[in-house]
Amino acid sequence: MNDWAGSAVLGVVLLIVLRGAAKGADVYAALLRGGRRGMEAAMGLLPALVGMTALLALLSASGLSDALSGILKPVLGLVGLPEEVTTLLLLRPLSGSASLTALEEVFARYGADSRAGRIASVLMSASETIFYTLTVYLGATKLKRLPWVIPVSLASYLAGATVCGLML
Amino acid sequence: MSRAWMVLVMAGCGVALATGSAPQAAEALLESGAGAVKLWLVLLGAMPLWSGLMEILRETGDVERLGRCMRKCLAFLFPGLKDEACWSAMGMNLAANILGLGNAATPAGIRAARLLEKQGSAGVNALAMLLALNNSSLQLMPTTVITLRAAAGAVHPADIWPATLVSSGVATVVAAVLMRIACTRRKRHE
Repeated sequence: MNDWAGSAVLGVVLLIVLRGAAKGADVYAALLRGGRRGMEAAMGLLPALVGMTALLALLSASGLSDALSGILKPVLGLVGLPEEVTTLLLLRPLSGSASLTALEEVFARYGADSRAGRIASVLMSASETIFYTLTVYLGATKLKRLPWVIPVSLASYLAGATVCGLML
Repeated sequence: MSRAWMVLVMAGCGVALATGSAPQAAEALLESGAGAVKLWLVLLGAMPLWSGLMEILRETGDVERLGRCMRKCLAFLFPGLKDEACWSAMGMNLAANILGLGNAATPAGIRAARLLEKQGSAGVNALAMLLALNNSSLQLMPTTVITLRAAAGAVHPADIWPATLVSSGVATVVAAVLMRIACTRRKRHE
């Protein structure tokens, strides 16, 4: 198979650098400045990743996550998703660190190129931490609640997940 | 999430103790830290690269340009909203969001939320729509996941890109349509 998407990644990098050059920007200085911000964001992630990896290890060793996957299997089957992605599907709207950990678990157990691995990849990248986003934005205002955001966001999440199950 | 973590840890420990799988569970728990660090190292390498590349686009003014273009395309989703400052923050938030620039999207979104709050019911509806669009997150470049796939040994790590575009695109359209319906119905009730 011709990996055109891999070439597209390189194309995007080239495009960004070309844009910078065309505008006369100091490309490398900008790369370092943005890189520092990215590093600061990434540095702070470790405690949450450790907490979530510990939780998922516990759930999987105690058999709880497999039991849950078994129970939800028929429901997931309705939208064409394999039971292997249950944990990720449930955790994705709640927490970024938890879903990254769940994604890694799917990769480790079934492989990144398996159907479950590919579906998990798309689920992860085509969705957001719905509850967290709402908390952050509401916290910045005096509003107590925003009607419809949660149901609409969950419905759109499920729609995206269904499309993903149909495509892969 | 704090409460979910607490409840789930209690459930995990309880079930492991009750079913006699406690020693294996303890072992898995103790070994999990190393896995977390491995995942963290991949992120630690990937995030500075992409946030650096995106900073170049910010410097050239392209993120802002994309924001202006998006507000023109999406004006029909935010009826009755005239305030220029709101629009500028919302445009920046949406543009940063589809480029995967969390660092820039959140401050712009918070600025938009504070400004929209003062705009009455049109502002509240607009904030609800903005959040629905943020949450469905049309994703142009799934860089983090591509990097994690590469690290996990995928043969073509980027081949999930088209599916991501379609899936997040459909989610975004569904979010916009549903929120539009919800807002119109609320207006009729008032």
